[in-house]
Amino acid sequence: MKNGTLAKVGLTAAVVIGGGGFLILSSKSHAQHYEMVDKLIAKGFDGFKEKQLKVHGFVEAGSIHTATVNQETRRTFVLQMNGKKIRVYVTGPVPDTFKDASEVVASGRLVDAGKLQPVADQICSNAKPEDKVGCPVRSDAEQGQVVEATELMAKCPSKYEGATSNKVDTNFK
Amino acid sequence: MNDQGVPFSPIAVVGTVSLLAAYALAAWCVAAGIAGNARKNRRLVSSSVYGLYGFGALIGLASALIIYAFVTHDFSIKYVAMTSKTSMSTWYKVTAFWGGLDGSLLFWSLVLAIFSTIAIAVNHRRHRDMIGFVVATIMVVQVFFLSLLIFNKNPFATYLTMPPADGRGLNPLLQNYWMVIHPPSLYTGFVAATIPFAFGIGALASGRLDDMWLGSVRVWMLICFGFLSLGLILGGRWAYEELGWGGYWAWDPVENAGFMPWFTATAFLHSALIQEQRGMMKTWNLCLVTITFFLTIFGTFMTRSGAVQSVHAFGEDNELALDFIVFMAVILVVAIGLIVYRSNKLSKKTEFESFISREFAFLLNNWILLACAFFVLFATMFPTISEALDGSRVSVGPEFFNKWMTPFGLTLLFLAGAAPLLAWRKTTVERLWNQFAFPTCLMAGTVVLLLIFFPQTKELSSIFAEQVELPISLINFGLIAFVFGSIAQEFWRGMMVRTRQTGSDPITSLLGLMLIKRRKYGGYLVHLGVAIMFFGFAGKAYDQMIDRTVDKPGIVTADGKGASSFSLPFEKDPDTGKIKTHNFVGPFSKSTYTFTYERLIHTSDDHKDAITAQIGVYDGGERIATRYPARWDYHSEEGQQTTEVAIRVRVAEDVYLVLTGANLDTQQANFRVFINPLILWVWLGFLMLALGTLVCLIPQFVVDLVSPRPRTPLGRAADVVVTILIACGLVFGFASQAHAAAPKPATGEHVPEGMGMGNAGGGYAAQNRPTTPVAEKAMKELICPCGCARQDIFHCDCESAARLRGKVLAILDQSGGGDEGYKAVIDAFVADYGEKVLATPKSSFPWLLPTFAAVIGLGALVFFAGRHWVKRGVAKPTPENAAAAAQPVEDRYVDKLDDELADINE
Repeated sequence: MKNGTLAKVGLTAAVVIGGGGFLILSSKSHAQHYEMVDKLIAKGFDGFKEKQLKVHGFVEAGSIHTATVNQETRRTFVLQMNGKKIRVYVTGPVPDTFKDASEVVASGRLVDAGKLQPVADQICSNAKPEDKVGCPVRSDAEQGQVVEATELMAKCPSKYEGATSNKVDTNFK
Repeated sequence: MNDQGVPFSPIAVVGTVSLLAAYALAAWCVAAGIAGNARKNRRLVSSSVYGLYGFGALIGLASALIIYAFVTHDFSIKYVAMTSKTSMSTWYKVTAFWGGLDGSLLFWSLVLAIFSTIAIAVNHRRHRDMIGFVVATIMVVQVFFLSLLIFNKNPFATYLTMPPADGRGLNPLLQNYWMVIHPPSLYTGFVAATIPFAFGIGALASGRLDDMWLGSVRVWMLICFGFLSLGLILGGRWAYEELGWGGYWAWDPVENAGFMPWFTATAFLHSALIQEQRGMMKTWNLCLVTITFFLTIFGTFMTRSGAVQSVHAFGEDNELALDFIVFMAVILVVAIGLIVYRSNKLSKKTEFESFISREFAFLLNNWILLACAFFVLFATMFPTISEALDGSRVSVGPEFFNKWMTPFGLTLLFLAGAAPLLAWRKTTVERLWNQFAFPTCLMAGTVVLLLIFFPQTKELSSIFAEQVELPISLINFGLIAFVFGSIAQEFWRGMMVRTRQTGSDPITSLLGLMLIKRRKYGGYLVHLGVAIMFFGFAGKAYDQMIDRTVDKPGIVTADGKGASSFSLPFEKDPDTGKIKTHNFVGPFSKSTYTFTYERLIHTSDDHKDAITAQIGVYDGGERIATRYPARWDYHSEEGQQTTEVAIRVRVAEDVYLVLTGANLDTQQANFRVFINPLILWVWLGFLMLALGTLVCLIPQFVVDLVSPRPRTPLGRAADVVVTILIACGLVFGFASQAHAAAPKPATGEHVPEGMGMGNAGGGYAAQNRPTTPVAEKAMKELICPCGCARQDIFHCDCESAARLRGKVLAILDQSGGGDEGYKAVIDAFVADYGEKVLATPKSSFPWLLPTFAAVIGLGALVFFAGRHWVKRGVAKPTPENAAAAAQPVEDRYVDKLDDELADINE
């Protein structure tokens, strides 16, 4: 079997370009926007309605309210970053590292805050006494839209705190 | 502290100096290596080689110092304070070496120093004219990592003010044996990719582009492949056992960072064969070693620089990102530049002769593996690419990954079975029929049986795009059968040929075959392992999960029915009346599961509060297991909770129980239950893959060792006597290790078996806890006489242990504590109970002797038995073949001869 070099290059380019193009096209139907809380609010919500969204932020301390409603564990909390806040609702278990001030990514979609006010009321009414601090919760207190999350991811427990470098400061005495 | 009140650590001083010295030495090695080979100056080359060895010693010293700092709690060193604390066990203190960014970079440098020392020591005489370039390449990498360490991430950096009294310690989620060995496995895999890259650059720089360099690097790429596989599977196992989300792989950027070089390393292992057999794909192989090394650096950059947003990324550091970007640019420019420069020497001598050939199958395999690597890279970097293009950050999820990786994976699975059946150069029609008949029939039969007995496997799933749907499970199982058939046929035919040649029994022939042709048959075992793993992957499509809240624990009937039991009724399709979903019915086992919530237990100890639920697991009304899912709340980790899942492992599926929440006042508990079909086979498949890799790595000298030598009758008698002595030693060794289990005292209170909460038994467990480190040390040294699994009295939670802990505290009170008090405690207990009460015998000899006897005896038995087997499998020497037998035979010529003889015989 002998192929000209030009034919090989042409075939390779066709496969790469064709495959790559098909890959990009097929990715559109699975795309999920990924935004930090502050950037999401700065951009506005109009561009993200009816779209799958991942919102990345830090859990505001004291904002977590949990209750068991109809045999399901429901939670609401506030995600914040750089002073910008958005409320999140989620049903089901949460990661082990989920707690006040933890770094969290909530996957779901934006919903009008008013639609989930009944859920907030249910959570507050069913919560344990120590979890009622901060109740009643106003769903639209932070933004007109809230995140109805299907999945929560919390920060991996790693010691790789890469933000600050260690300068050599050893005393050589 | 020094006179100015600044923390002073001699360890930090010596450690930093050793890093600086290593840095300077590495720079010298780069210069000397390049100049030595360029000018053909043997002295300079030797200088660079010995400099590499000296570098290894300095890095070894620095590593030993940081470990010493951990073990001796030198919290004046920031890295030690960040990743360790006094209450951690010694094991976790040592492994905290690679627990943080700074230490992991030093660990990378250490492993590379060890590997490069071995690689250079073995190869420097064989490759005199390029070894200088090889050393220089390795040292450039070391200079890079040392630059990061010295100027940015010094693990020996100390506090300028008062250091903390205790360290921060390690998150409890990371205090898990899988998580301890997962990072070094991955690092070892990453680092091993540097050696082939260095030899490739050496070959390009020197112009020595024959196959010699390939033979030197193949084993390193195999090590890279093996350790990357191990690291990836350990990470998956940790996620499965520890995180409680029921899965083991989520296509997260951190996972993908380790997966990408695995693809290209696998591609190289296959394409290297083509270069050896046919002299083709030289440029391709050089590109592959470059890409593999590049991807190891890129993966590290991705996860530590913040280039990819993920909660599982290890941090964000723009300075570090810039360093990595510059280094990656240098790698690409130098490697591509050299390949282009030497392109005229890299032209191949032969062409592909047929599409139906082993060469073409390997090429296709390479293309798909490369496509996998670049797809994963593209999809992982999708958010960064989209943000660069239009300012919005867009990611793709696991569903997108699976849509593309599933068809790629199935194609690779087919090739794993088909390629060994094809001939080099060209496969005739007769050979096609002869080779493919059995595996194809097995595949067809499997498909038919599945359609009859497991019709759910014909459900359609989409691949590439929503519109393209295929019965993926059916294809998967069919291809697995094809691969099994292909490999079994290869083993059978090889074994029969060798049996005819040597006249020995089949088992001896098989073992001899695998030892002689370990690359080939080790590779077949790896393919078999991959097929078994695909069997496990197939179960993912059938997993089931529910969340359930049960108000109160309670008593149930013998078949698991009651107010506290939970399951789901079958759902029927309202239109057809057929069962719509098989809830909690094992899809391949047909087991029907129900669960009973029986009690909620709250315990606490010095470290944590534990809430544990007791769950009865029933299959078809018969109780098959009791499991204890739990939630632990650590006191010292600011409310860190861990999920302790409970898994009932079965061949057809795992029953996976998670306690997601509980109310101690009302006894209400929330559960999440998974049925994970076939997941056990993922882990078993990996074990087969690891076995195959180890077979490939068996060095020639081991094969030579087990080769037979002429023996006299006296020698044969000596063999028999030695074998008897070894057998007696084994029996004695194991017998002396055994301890008769004493009956448990009637009044003892023990935590029920399987609760896995350590000493958190409540009641007696909480009595007489140690109040000082000396007391804790003494209690850990004394075995509880109640006979419960040889636990020490610190951990045992029975009444006897509580009473004895009180005795320890009383003795320490009287003797004043410290070393004298410790000695007094030990002497008192030895006087009462004998030396058997000690966890560590005073004299190591009686403790070690049985162990040594057992280990040495087992090794010698394998050696002598192996020699006996191989001897039986070797043809008796005749005058005709004695001369030929005296010639050493290389594997590749043996393989080639076999294939050509097979063609002639058809």
